[in-house]
Amino acid sequence: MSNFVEPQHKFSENPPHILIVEDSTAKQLLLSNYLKMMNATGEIAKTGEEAIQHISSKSHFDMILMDLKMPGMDGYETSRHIRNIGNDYCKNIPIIAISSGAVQDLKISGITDFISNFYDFENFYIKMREYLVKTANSVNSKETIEVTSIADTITNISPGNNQFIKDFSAACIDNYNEFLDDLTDGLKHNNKELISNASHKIKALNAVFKLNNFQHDIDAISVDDLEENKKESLLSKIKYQTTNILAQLNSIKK
Amino acid sequence: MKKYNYMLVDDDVAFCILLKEMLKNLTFLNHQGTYNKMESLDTIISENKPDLLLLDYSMDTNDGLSFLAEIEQPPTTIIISSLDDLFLQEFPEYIREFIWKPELKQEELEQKIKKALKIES
Repeated sequence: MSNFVEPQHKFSENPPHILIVEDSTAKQLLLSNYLKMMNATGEIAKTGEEAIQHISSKSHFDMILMDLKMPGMDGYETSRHIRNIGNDYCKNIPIIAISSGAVQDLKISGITDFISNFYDFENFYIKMREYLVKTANSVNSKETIEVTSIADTITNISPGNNQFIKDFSAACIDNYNEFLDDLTDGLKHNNKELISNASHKIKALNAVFKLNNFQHDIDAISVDDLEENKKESLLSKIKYQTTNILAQLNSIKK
Repeated sequence: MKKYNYMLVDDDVAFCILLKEMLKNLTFLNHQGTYNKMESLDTIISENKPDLLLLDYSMDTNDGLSFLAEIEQPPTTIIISSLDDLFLQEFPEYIREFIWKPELKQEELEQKIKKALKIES
């Protein structure tokens, strides 16, 4: 496992809280380390029964990582039990199965998705991000995320041209990272030129991906006399959206 | 049909990849090179004599236009930019067209390039 974690593979704000349901100590350690690397927090349940206790406790989790093979109540049965608790939280929380082997029909048990190759950190992060974004989106409808069409847009520019898809996604990742760095720096040091350049440079890509509301937020934050608290709130929204865009681009790049 | 050599100059690497891919559909064009820096560009252009230059107006390190003025025979040039007020400025005659990056469309791209190169549709 690499110790180097790129900034875009970290949750910069509102660290998600994850329930790890796993009987193997080695995998508990691996997954806990992954969460630390991503700036997320976690609690461990060693059995299905413990998982149900955790989920019924006062702790709020953003996701459950579920081992499928466990002695006693396995991952499928545990997931069914959690879904049957009946409240909205238990109905909607993403349950992501982690398995290195074959999986049965997950949906019957209420499992949202699975990560097959969880030894690959980037693969793990992308899957986590995908479902944490969906959860955040449904919780806070004000956060307009328009990133679902990025993959389609890139693929449709040159269908079947994998080299283009890879190169273009990688270059877009650089642009969005640079944009966020420049915008953050510009606001921090009240450097209007840096803010304006950052806003102009990202405009073309935002137009390609039809991220109109996102560009609107960027234009709004560039206005001189914006109140400080509004500026902070907008920056936080822009950061959140950029992270989501980067996660999408990272998944396409592969 | 005659092939026209074009060069792409823009410090935005992602945009260059995108534009080059879109221009592949225009069979009368031949990609001569993409440059993300202004360094030695005047020499490169003077030596290679592209038929068409697609040039970003606001490169990071330099004004995208001033170096062109120093070339003896500047190539036919299309300015590409995200700046809103670009059209209000005056440009030399070798600047034939403008492409506003946020409104990049395949049909318009073809139309403008043909117009700049004086190719009849």
